Amino acid sequence: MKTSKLSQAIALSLMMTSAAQAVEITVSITNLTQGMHFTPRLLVAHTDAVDLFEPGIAASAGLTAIAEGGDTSVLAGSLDTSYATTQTNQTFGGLVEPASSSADYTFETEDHSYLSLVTMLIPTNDAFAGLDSWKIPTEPGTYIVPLNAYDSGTEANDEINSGNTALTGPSGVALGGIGVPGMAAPAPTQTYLGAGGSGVAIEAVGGVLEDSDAEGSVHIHRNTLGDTNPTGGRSDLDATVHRWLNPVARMTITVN
Amino acid sequence: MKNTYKLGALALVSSFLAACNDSDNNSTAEISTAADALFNVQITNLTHAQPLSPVAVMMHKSGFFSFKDGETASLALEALAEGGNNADILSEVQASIQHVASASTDGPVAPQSASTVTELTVPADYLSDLRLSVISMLVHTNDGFTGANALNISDMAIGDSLTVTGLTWDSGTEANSETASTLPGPDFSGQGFNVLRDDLIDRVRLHQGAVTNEDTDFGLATSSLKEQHRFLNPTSRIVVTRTQ
Repeated sequence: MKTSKLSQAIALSLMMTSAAQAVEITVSITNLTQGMHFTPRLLVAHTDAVDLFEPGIAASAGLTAIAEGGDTSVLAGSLDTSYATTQTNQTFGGLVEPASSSADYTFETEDHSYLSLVTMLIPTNDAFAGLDSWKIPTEPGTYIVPLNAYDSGTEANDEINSGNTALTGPSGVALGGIGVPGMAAPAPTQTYLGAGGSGVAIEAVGGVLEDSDAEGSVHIHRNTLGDTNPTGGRSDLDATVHRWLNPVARMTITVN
Repeated sequence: MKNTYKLGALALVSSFLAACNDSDNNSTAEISTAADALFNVQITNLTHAQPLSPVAVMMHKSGFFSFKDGETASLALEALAEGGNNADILSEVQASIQHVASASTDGPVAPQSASTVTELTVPADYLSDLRLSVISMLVHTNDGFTGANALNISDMAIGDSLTVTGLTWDSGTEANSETASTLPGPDFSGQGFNVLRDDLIDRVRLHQGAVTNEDTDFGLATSSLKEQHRFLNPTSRIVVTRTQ
């Protein structure tokens, strides 16, 4: 009888082991802001060898590309190159509108223990919503996780619409790119955006926005200011539309 | 069959409560039996100068929501978020098949203070699938509210206590003009509920905060709100304790 019980236990543990190697999760994200769009989401399951971002630490080039331009390819590429076996990642979806939820994404974690997500808030200079190395529960169920807005610390929060061609970055470079001042704001994120502002964290001098790039490290975003002058003033954001209070997003994660 | 009977009795009790405008919070306790659980719910107003309207305190089974993020507010939520009137929000939950127990606090909750304790009676059969929803308006806003949305309080033991903090939502039903004529409450006495929906987006989301008229560069010149009306999350704290 004892032998039989033992073999049962072994069989059971083998079953559990094989089940643990294929952890599938379903994820959706709810945009809780009234004025920010979310860019396509980079979702990463990883070991503790990988960290997409860390408050107090300077942003990587890959994180910068997401926070300033919503481009997940740089970070995804460097993860695949440098962390081939300790992470798996996927970019999901298009824009998520203010006050709405994304579709459900099904994601195979390959049994990595942690989950991270990064998505840019548009229109901002370098704000992103982030899930920072969340431990994936072993118990199946649905988990709700709030996300705060971070500042990647890589670009001054000038709050200038990159569509304003009267201004340029240093050396005449067009506004809005990665590593360049100004907020890239593709349609449909321009609805409440003004133009003609002089700048908030930095101001234009002689038609040029000089960004010292000296903002620093990743930190909780101090919020936008905006103003109520759509054709001038300091900011091209609208004070009654584009502000937020944390959290800015909620993730619903179902461990299947 | 037993469940059906209890549900019927509960519906009677709730309609009785709804019929009594000045419902005594203890009236549910009077019909409780030894098998029933008792819960105390208290809400603390964490803001500096935003009174909270009389608080709707609702216990229900899973599957019921007074509102959902990213979805259009019901008329009942609009009435609460714009005018601080919780009668329709309470009627709505009481009419639902998931309703367990609900009541309003005696009155508004002043800034920087705690509400009176609301006691609710929950038949034992409901303890394994129990949710708490709490909703109250930030009175010096156009349509801001705080609370808890279907918080899971299943299987609390006697003596257990759970504390959560409440975010601040915008019902999406009224533009945040911040003008005195649109702000109810002691500081402004403006209009509360208005059926017109003129917000940026007619969907519930989190509140972006009060802009106020205090800043020349970044403020809203037409706002009647002052710096003291600002708030950050969280704006409320909710403590639920099972006492029996």
